[in-house]
This record gives sequence, structure tokens and C-alpha cells, in this order.
Amino acid sequence: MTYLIIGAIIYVLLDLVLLVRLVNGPTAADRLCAADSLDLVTSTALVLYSMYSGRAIYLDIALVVAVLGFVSTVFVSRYLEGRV
Amino acid sequence: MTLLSIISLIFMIIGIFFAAVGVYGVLKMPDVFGRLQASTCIATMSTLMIALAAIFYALPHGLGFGTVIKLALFALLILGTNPISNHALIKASYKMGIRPKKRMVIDDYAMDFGSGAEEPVAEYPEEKEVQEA
Amino acid sequence: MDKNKLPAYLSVFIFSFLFWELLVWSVNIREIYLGLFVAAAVSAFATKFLIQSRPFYLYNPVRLFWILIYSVCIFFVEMVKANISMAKIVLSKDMGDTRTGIIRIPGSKKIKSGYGLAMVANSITLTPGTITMDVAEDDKGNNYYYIHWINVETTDRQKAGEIIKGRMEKGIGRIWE
Repeated sequence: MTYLIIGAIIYVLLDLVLLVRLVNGPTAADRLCAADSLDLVTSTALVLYSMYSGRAIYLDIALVVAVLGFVSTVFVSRYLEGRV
Repeated sequence: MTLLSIISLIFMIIGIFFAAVGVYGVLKMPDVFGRLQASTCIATMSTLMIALAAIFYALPHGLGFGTVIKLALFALLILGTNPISNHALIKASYKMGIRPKKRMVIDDYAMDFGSGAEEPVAEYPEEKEVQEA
Repeated sequence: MDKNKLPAYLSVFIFSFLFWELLVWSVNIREIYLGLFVAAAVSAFATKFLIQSRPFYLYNPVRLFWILIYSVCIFFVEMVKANISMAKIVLSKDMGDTRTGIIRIPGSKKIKSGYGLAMVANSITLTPGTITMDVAEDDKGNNYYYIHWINVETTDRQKAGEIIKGRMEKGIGRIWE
């Protein structure tokens, strides 16, 4: 269906908007917040694209992207807190 | 367009709306606390609605029951992991010494645990200073 | 491996094997062998982080039923309401002009276990507008949640607790103790 690929394109555009915050966020915490949102939006776009193309392999990629974003956010925020 | 496709389209539009609200909040909120609150919109409503839309799309198009299970696991995984990273991030930014731009109405955490930061409390930096640097 | 820990290992093993089967979704004999191996490895490493006492607490149809009721009837409704109010805040003109604050709200006396506290804290974080910063316990055994609230409606801590987690904590109280 066409609407799925249109939704995926809108999500990729939202990704580009988030890159603005990632580039000129004043502190490291702002950049980390933007990066976390970027992971979620990217994996959601991958879900829509996997439905459009009919291949379930993109769903696995979306799962892995979500898990890696979670792990990296937790580790970097623990580093910012000064406990690693 | 069958009925299930229309339901899926409606769920997708709701999801895109809340993702846009979250992205706009991340872009425009004045400090990191407000940005985190806005980014929760992306994690909860947008992800859940897109997963529901994909489930309603996958059922009549013969993508198999395994795909539906995987989509449900995807939504559950994000709903389970996102609060942990949000909690770690907001505590880290508080302990780094970042405070909201506007004065807080009530701050029980500073009252009970001291200021929380080893260094003296820093105000949230203005955007202009950073762009110069 | 400690012999007393054997039910705990078994519990984690069953859970991770079920998770593997849901992800793979086939009954090929090779994948079942690989899943048994992976589940054994995961349970050998992760049991000491996951289970302290009463390993088969959640393998109970009544509790699974209450989890389903909680997540569909209580949590989902609260989440949608909080999302709509958050969208109103973001789309209003004076976006950063809310009364933010960090407030300490008392937890219920019934929920003592770590899983219950974590579930309440995560449910509070998942409703946009409130994020849990810390969970603390005082000398008498009462639990407190420190919550960053973007729009503080009242500074009275008891009332704030009712507003933030009123229905959710009652639902969780039926699942964990």
C-alpha cells in the first residue's frame, strides 16, 4: 500500500529535524536526549518500511536498533553521572 | 481500500501526529527536562500506534502470524526499556548541575539530598554563548 | 551453581526459551536445540540479577490475567490522557511557561518488592508529563518517589500522589506485593 511508504518518508523527515537538536544542543544531555529519540524514530520508520516491502527481516533490524539505542543511552548517561 | 486498511491508516495518522508533537517539543522546549518529557510522547503513543497500524496491515495481507507476534514484541520492548533510559538520563542531567531555566515551584530532591551536584550549581547555558563557542 | 538456586535458574530458563520461541516462531528441531542452548546460557548469567526470592511468583494465571487487565484497561487509558495533555502543552504558544518542579510523593504501604516499585516507577515515567527521578526508602520502611512534574497542579504531596499514580498503583497492588 502507498500510505505506508508515505508514513515512512515522514518519519525520515522527522529524523532530519531531530538532527538539528543533535548538532546544536547546548549540553551533552540535550544531545543524548535527541539521539535517543532518533533511535526510536528510525526504528519506527523501519517497521513501516518492512510492512511496505513485505520482508520481515527489516523488523529484526528495527528491534536491534531499538535495543542498541537503549543500551547506549543508559551507558552514556551513567558516564555523564560519573559512575562508570 | 478494505476496512482493515482504513483502520490501519487512521492508527498511522495518529502515530505520526504524536511523533511530530514529540519532535517539535524536543526542538523547541527550553531545557533538557522539558525535552525529555516531550520525547516520551514519541516512545509511547507513536510507537504503539505504528505497531497497531502494522498489525492491522499484516493480518489481511498474509504476512504471517510470526510477524504480528514480532510487532507486539517490538512495542513491548520499547515500552519496557524507554522509561529506564529516561530515568537514567534525567538523573544524570540533574546531577551534572543542570537546572531548569525557569525557577522550579518545588524541589524536594535538593531539599533531601543536598544540591545533588559536586560542583556549584550551574544555570542552564544560553544558546547564544554556545553558538559562539 | 548453587543447589538452592535451581528453581530460580529453571524459571529464567523457561522464560527465555518462551521468548526465543516467540521471536523465531517455528518448530524446526534445529532452532529448538539452539534455543535450549541460548536459554541455558542466559539463565546461567542473568539469574542473579533477575531473581532474589520466590522464582515462580509470576507463573500464575490469576496474576497474568491481572497484568492483562492492568495494561489494557488502566495503563493505556492513563497514557492516552497524559499524551493528549502533553500535546496541548507543546502546541500552546507559551510552551516553556509551565510550573515545573520535583515533588516527593509517598508510595503505598502494600507494595514492598523491588519489582512492584520498579513497575510503579516505570508506569509513572511512561505517562508523558511525569518522570521518576529516584525511589527512596526511609527508616520506617515507607517508600517515596521523587518525580519531575512538568505542570505542578498542587504542592500538597498527598494530593499530588493521588493525581499522579492513583489508579495505576491500585492496579499494580493486585499483581505485586
